[in-house]
Amino acid sequence: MKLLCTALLGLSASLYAQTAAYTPQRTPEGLPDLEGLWQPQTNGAAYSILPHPPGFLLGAGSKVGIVEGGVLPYQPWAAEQVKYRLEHMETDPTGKCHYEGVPHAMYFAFQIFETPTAIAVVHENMHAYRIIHMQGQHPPKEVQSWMGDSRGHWEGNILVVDVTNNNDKSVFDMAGHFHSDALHVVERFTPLSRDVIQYEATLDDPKVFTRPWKMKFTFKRAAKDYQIMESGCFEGERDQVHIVEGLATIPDHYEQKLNTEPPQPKK
Amino acid sequence: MRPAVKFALVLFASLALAQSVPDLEGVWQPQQNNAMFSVLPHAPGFLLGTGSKTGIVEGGVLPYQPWAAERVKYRLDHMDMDPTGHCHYEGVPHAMYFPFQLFQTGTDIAMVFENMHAYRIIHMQGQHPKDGYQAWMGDSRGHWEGKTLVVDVANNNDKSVFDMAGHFHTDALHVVERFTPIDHDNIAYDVTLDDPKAFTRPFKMHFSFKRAPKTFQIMEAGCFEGERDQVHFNDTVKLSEHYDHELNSEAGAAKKDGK
Repeated sequence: MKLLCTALLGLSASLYAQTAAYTPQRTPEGLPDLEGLWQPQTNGAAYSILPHPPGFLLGAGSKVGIVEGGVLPYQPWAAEQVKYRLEHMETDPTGKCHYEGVPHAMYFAFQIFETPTAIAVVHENMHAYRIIHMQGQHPPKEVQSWMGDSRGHWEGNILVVDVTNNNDKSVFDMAGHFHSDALHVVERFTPLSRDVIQYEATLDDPKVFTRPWKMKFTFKRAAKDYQIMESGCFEGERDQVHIVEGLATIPDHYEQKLNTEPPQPKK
Repeated sequence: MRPAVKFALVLFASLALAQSVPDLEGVWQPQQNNAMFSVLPHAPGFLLGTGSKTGIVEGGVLPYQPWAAERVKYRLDHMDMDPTGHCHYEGVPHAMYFPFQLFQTGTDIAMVFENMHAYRIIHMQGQHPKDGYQAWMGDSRGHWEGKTLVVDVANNNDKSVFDMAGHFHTDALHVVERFTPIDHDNIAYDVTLDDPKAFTRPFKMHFSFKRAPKTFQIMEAGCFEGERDQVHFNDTVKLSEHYDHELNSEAGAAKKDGK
């Protein structure tokens, strides 16, 4: 009986191991195949990555947001800056057609193209793209860009991407959640099934936050007739501030936990 | 050799050939003779460029209809009409004068450009969208003819232009591109352009792409500002006078005879 139980346990364990770790098919070059069109399941992250009610900035609401723990560990001065930015929508770069940066751009549908030395991620939104270099080093830190510089490698079937060289102008969403040029992002794209990729990002910005933090959501494979169309954004939109002018004071409409953790006592 | 074996070998070889499409992936540098300034032959210094004795248009002539030839001269003297300084995507083939990285999959090919941070997707399946959808970069549908990638570009808007020398087109523009690999490091690029609203006949362009050195990499070149000063760069000269070009030698010849 003991032998039977052990055998059954071993069998079910190995079966579990097989079903839990999905192995995607391979591209002709032998890489895990993540190619195709993907639709992010973000719960209104474009508006705010924290939990927020429907109607906040005209968007869909989200009970959970995409930040692990539902908290953004801003340093006190930075938490004040977030509130300021929320009341001054002219500081938000989105309406001015600037590229969203990483991970903000990842809230929008994209198409992946893979080669052994580089992966292209092209978005319809803002007609943005980035190249994930699978070789080489980050440029010197003086070279800053909206989309940063992405260097990737495979860990088994997981695509791990290191993003640095970010400027301080891109933001995380439209709710005033900003970062500095010290932002460092590590993304993990884990295929869960043929039609689902799990996306996890660890974000580290010691100039603005008290500790690293994580965000997590999934990408779902788009329907076969879905295609990236041209979505040029050139006009340098200046009216965004008026769109939300009617709302009384945005921070009043939006209760958010900017930092529930008291600062660690200095030793 | 036995006929059966020979047959098998031929069959295998032709199947292998049929299934292998060229690998065009990598970073490519267009050898385009300063076409972004003008696709026709032009002198150094024209619009601050380095000049080209031949240009990239076959025959060195753009067969504009008479009204359109006048329009070109007008545009040349009114640089505020040029969309380039406003950060608009160049369209096809204009975007192809700038370096790009090509990514190939079974169903789509992506070309991403550093200039204007533009990209285009060449769909290797499906149809052009219906009329009514127009885009700066148009809609591209490709297929292979042997080793040549043939791309049909429709759904163009009437705002993109061929260069900075006033050479415009209408939304009737239809472009067929042929990318033929010459060797590992070179691709021949042949384009046939057809726009019955602005030209008297189709015309062709030709140049090539050279594989970029291994150290070359596409960087971010965001262009957001809606540049408005371009018109001032050429304030003091009337461009159309400095630029002698055959807009349509056929109409020009007829005019001489007729009048």
